[in-house]
Amino acid sequence: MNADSREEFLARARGAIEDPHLQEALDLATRRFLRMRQNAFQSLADPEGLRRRAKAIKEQTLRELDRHLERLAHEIRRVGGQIHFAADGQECADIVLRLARERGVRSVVKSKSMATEEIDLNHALGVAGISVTETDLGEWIIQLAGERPSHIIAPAIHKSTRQIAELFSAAVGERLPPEPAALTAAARRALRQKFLGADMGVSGANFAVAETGTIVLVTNEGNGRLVTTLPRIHVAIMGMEKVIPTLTDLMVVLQLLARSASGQKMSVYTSLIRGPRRSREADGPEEVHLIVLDHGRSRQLGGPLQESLFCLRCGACLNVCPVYTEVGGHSYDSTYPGPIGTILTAFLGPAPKNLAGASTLCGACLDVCPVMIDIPRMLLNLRHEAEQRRQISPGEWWLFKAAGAILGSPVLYRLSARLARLLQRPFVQDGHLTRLPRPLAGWTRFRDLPAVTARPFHIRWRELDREA
Amino acid sequence: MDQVGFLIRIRAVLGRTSEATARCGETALATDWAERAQRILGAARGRWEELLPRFETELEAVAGVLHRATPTAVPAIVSRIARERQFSHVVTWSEAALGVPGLLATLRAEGLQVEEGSPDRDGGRPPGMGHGLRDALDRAGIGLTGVDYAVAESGSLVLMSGPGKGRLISCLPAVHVALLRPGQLLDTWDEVGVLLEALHRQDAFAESQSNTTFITGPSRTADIEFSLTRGVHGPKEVHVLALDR
Repeated sequence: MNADSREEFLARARGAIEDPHLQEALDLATRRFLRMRQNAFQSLADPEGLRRRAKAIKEQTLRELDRHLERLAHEIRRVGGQIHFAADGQECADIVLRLARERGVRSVVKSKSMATEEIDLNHALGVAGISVTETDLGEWIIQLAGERPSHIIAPAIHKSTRQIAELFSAAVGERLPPEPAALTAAARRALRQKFLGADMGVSGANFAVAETGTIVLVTNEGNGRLVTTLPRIHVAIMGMEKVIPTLTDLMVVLQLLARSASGQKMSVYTSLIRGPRRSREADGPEEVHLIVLDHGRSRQLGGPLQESLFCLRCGACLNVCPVYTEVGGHSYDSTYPGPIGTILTAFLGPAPKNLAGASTLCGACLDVCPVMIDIPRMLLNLRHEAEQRRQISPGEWWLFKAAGAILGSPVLYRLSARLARLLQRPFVQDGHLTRLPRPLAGWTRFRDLPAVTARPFHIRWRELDREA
Repeated sequence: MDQVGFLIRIRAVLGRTSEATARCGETALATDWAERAQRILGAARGRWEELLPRFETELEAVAGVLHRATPTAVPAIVSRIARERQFSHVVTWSEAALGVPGLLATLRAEGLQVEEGSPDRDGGRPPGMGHGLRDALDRAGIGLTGVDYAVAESGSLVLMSGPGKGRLISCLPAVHVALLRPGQLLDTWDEVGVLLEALHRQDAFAESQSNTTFITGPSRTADIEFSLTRGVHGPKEVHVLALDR
């Protein structure tokens, strides 16, 4: 973490920790997600087996990613769809804008898509004079508030019912009570009109099946179905790593995604979209486009962060993370927050940043991940990288250099232990260091350190050895 | 960036050649999906009574409602659901796709306004999403459909679009009523996977349909302070009518 992004993170985190409403919301949401996830996994005969299968599918797919993408492109065209490839966010936005302009599109409805958040598509469309409406309830709240999602699957958990009532009242021009049911009903009415009037639907894609040219979209609200059925043009935007070889593979990852994300056995709606409306069908779009997005992903293939491309975007690692559950999503100031977000943010887009310091390396994220992504190892990789690039403060750098030298030499180690025993004396209280002077003050600001012992381990070991 | 350039970039990072890509494409799996699908469907009819209780439990767990009924009792149940909610309009799959002859006439006799959301006019172009159908769907309180399959392990429905089987009928109205028949109820998603693999290998399937939807209970959200609310964009209620012979 370089000094600037570190200071910014700390400042935002401090604000989040001091916000009692946010703390309560984070607590409620993350705990409930976890409990529901646990229940849902208990209904599986062999949860570990399913996780291993999913991981193997992702591993094999990435190893031959070019082949699967080529097949996907072939199949999409065969069923009457169109496929585009975008090297970065700018190219992706340009494709959407060109499609919109050529077809006289004036209004767009969107279903929730992290990929479009990543490339800030709404901004690009707005600048071009095209009206964009987010239709996932949480995303609509965020859009009306002019904010960014704070959780991958629950974007508006930081908003109170009262705040939402104010936003919705202003949007629909009538005074709405701060009650979730009434607010949801008002949103249904307002957004239904947007759906019926839109020329283009923009969605993400949870998966795309290479063998069949199928775009797969998962939602609980049903907005995904409306976005991909009502407007005459459907454009789906997908990170390139989300291609999956077969329908059989799809069944594996779908069962894991719903359980990990929200503790459901299956999400309410899963749409398998295979090209535009056929001639004898009553509804569906006239055109279906898939844009496959790179945006920094290909650089990670075969590299130390490759596993992060297995991510299903379930958000489970956020819910277990001792850092995320305290500081919330906005502290990260990036599209993807939390443990997996830290990894993705380190390479996605034009301005990646290294926030690997914002972790305790406790490993809970690895335990909970449906595809067993080794996030702690990658965080270490990123910390190492930051050190190599000298993106840490000079004081810290020298401290760890010195620690490395001391820990690498028995003589130096014993010498410095003896020295430490001497120097620590004024600060020891009940066997603990509770308050160290600068420059070490940070270590003891929120925690105590055990004091250096009078009888070190190597001495005790020698004594034990003698006794034996 | 064009497709070729995009894939070259990936190949370069992976250290693969385009020849290797082409060779890999030739290895097709030798699984006989059609035969496996036949076996699953063959067994489904005999497992109806065994699977139905599990399906009911799972459907209720996601706030769906199961009714057991004979085909002749369908109009009475549908009109009761409509009356209780003060709805008068029903939009349906085509009568042929519903598979209950005379059903629409009986529903009309019950006093309901019934509209076939997607009449299939022999080879002719259906009205599509003309404003007539949109208006009908917006007016309708109930969308009445069949299903292609149902899945006991999660209480889910599988609906495939196609002639006479409009997508929006199960999505726009406030209440979705689905007819489920013996032989359509399966045990697991792995079984659905096999059936989908088999279907997707048929050219006729690709030519006639563009959408398959899995539905597990009514539309829901928890985006406002984590309070669970139903019917945000899709139906508020899902009723499944299990048709005994």
